[in-house]
Amino acid sequence: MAKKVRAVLTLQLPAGKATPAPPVGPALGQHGVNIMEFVKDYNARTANQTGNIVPAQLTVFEDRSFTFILKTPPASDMLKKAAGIPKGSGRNRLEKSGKVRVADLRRIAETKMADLNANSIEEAMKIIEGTARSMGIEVE
Amino acid sequence: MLWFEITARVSPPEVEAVAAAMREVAPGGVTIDEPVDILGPEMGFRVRPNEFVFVRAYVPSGELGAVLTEDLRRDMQQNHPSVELTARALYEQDWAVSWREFFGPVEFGGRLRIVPTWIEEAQDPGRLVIRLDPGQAFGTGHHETTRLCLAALEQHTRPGVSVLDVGTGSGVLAIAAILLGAGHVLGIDVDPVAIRVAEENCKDNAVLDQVTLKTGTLENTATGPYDLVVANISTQANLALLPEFPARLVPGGLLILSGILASDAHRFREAAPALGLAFDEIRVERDWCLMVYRRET
Repeated sequence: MAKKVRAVLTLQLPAGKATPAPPVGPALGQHGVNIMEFVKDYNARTANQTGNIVPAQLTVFEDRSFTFILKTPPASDMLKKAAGIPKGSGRNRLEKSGKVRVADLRRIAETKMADLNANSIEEAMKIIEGTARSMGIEVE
Repeated sequence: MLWFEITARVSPPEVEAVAAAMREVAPGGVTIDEPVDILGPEMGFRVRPNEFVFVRAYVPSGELGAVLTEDLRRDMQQNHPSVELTARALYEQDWAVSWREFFGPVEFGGRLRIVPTWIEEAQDPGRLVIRLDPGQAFGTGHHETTRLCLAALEQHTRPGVSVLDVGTGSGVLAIAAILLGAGHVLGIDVDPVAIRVAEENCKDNAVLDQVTLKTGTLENTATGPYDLVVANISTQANLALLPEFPARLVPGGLLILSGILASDAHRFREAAPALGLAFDEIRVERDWCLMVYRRET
């Protein structure tokens, strides 16, 4: 069919645990997207990655039908795991903490290569290093 | 219940880190809204680089929400001073169903009517009703190209004809053709998700025994010939397939082409005669047109 795009949106959600509550409800509802169909399909397709944040890039077409693709978990999530920063540490985030090794950067860059706008693994590592720095994570 | 919608305006290199910080206060997740250029039909979109990205998170209002929002504000001031944060209140709705307000029943001038499954209505013997919910396949009935096709099918579908539906999407045209009296429809689509959705929709409309659905290209799924071929795809796809269509039509058979921008109609007028396709009619709605050709005998 003649699919012309109306809107594009990325959602970073906990794998297997999407619900119609925010952020999914208001984000998709404003575009008239069938929310239950998205939630059911997202949870089914990410069930084997529970514990990770799995981004979904959603494309809404002019007649409000939609499609979505799954991306690799955010670099920030992988960096935190590599640095041993606990999840949901809330206020502790204000303190700068955590270290990762160059080998960690390479491993994360390799995993995320497909989703990064990089021509080489070195370029991808630079992007990941930038994210680490902006999160207050040191590279040693 | 009330929510706070917190929006961060972020430069691209900081998006990952800011999204991570926002997920700390909103464990349900965040949305990332990148500025994109919408390209033509079937051409998708392109992200505009170097422009601000909007990251959104939602926290419950009240004391906890206020504390979390304040935490986030301090975090941004300290670690991402260029980020601009705004917040607005949002009333709780039943989001699982509130999106449906965009979809009422739609009619197409003649006898066809598309009604979502959540709407109950009395049967009208003068109407052919397609039961269809919008989902992961194009063809909800809420687009010019689909509407044009439904109107053309209503006019051109003769009792018992065989139909090929190229790029079936939700299957809406296949269902309509059967309701209008076609004997059999083959619906094809390169997208396996569309074929799954089309199958469910055909089942819901009790036409699955007269519709065959196949994933694949025209070349490897449909030999024909058919009395009627309908292709609601794009200008590019229709032009590419145009030389293949005559062999799939019986002599005198009809070819309905849609998904074409009105400004591209001349490309079909130029290409069709050499392929033994005679122009029958053109219909235009907003930017879109539908063209009907007849295979010469």
